[in-house]
Amino acid sequence: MIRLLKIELKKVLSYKAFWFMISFYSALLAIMIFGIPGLIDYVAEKSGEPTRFRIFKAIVFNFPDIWQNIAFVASLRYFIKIILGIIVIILVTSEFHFLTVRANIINGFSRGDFLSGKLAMILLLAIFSTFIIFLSGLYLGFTNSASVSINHVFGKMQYLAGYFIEIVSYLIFCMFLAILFKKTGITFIAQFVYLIIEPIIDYKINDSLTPYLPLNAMNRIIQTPNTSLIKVKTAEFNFDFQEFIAFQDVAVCLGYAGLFVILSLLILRHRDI
Amino acid sequence: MQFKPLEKVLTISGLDKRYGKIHAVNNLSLEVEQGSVFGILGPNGSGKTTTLGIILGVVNANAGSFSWFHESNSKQNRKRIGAILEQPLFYPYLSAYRNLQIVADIKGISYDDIERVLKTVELWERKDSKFRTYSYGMKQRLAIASALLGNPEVLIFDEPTNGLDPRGIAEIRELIIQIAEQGITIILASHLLDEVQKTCSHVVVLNKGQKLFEGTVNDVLNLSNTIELSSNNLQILELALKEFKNITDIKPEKDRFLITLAEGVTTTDLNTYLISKGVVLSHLTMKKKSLEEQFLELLSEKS
Ligand SMILES: Nc1ncnc2c1ncn2[C@@H]1O[C@H](COP(=O)(O)OP(=O)(O)OP(=O)(O)O)[C@@H](O)[C@H]1O
Ligand SMILES: [Mg+2]
Repeated sequence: MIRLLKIELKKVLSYKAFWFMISFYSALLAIMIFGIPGLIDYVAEKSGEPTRFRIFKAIVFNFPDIWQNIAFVASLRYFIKIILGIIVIILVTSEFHFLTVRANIINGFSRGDFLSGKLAMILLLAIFSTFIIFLSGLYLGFTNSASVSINHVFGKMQYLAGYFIEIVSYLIFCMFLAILFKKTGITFIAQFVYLIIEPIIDYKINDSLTPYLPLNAMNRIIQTPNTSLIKVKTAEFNFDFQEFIAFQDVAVCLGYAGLFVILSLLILRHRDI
Repeated sequence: MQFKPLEKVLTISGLDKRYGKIHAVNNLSLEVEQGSVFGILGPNGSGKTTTLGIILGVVNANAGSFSWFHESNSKQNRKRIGAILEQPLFYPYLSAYRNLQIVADIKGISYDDIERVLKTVELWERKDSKFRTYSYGMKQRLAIASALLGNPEVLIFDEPTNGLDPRGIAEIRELIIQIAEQGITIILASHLLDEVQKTCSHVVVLNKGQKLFEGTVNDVLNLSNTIELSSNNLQILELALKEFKNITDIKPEKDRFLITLAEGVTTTDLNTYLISKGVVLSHLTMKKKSLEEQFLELLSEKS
């Protein structure tokens, strides 16, 4: 796997599209991490009710809740996660476009090697992304949190692991689409169409099936954060948020990841390259 | 040269590939011996590239099997082969050198050989240029360099001189002969029959995915020979020739006849017969057909 990863890294070493997307993703994250606290302060000044916003900020960026909050935002299905998906799609479809997958196999890759190389890149991207989220969480927490005791700082860190699993599964889903459709444009369209139709399907089917739709499954590990802000219950709004990571959600998510890996391999094996 | 028993490097049996209605490869069986230079001939669309694609693991056959080095088909076998298939395939945004590093990484060999192969194809000075910026002929040269990397036991060249300038073509031909002298097996698909005639020891001729002919180049060249003959009295000569049963074809020309003898009949037989008929020849030569003429004849016979 390390050998395959080295080869994959060599492939992208001077691939501008790849580095552009990585920079774009990092820049967007940085703007949000450094910009949002300032923005809240700014709005607070203007609103004439600064205390309310300051309380909000303290709650959202507070250790240990910050881990769930930041992981939740980073893994939103219509948000920055998509950029990572696009990176994976480009990495795979460019190999079909340039026919370099053919060259790889002629030179001695098996189809499984090709797939493993891409999986290695996915793991690396997921580690990179999780690490950035981790650093961002530390930064936001330390600059805004009331308490910085070890217990608080490292509490709820399991949500980072949850984020890692969600992002790996999502990227595997993107890889599967790229292998299925081969063309960059068509794969992008397929992904966006699916992002739109899954909620429609979700709406039509029985609620008990909701957790088993692929993208739902890849978004359920980190549930909507349950900070003290929304713990307030009223007569109309009386809802208990899940305050833990459910084993079943992890299992379904990993199940999908495994399924898409197997389907990808079957497609690669069956097709002329 | 030292004598080696004839090992089979590649065995293909009953290979079949269909693309919808098109029968690209039709029940093809072949054997390639170690150290031979094996030419694959055939008109456009006869299944040469498809066959090579199958034995290189990128195209799945519908039926039949093949084996390299008497082993089951694994990626390990492909690492012992250097190949060009149809067109140069590289990462356009990477330099030639980096591209070859990736090839070396996949094959599991060191980078030490990159300099040699790039120098062989005269691209060493341009090693740091991006593949995308190469001219077509340079891309083809890089493909040849990539195939040569690590001195593979077998080379597969699918139209290697495609796009090369005349000097490049001559150089590649020399290179092929030189490599063949080292005992490396070469499988060459080419439309340049002159090239095949000069370099190959064995040929197979394909048409519509089927094998038309397989044998040594000499076998093909001896398939049928034209004899040119003339006499002071052409009328008597013509009468005598027409009576001779062992002639398959007579073509009169201005002051001579071109004839083809039936298999197994020699010029001596012909001459003895003519003398018995009292015909004195003023001219008799054997004309060997070129591979190209034989090739065209083979194809026209079957269609
Ligand atoms: N991917 C494909 N899809 C459909 N048909 C194909 C495909 N690849 C090849 N064919 C068909 O298979 C037949 C054999 O093609 P192939 O490329 O093997 O010919 P070739 O002998 O290499 O020809 P050329 O001399 O032009 O290189 C052709 O009729 C071609 O149209
Ligand atoms: Mg071809």
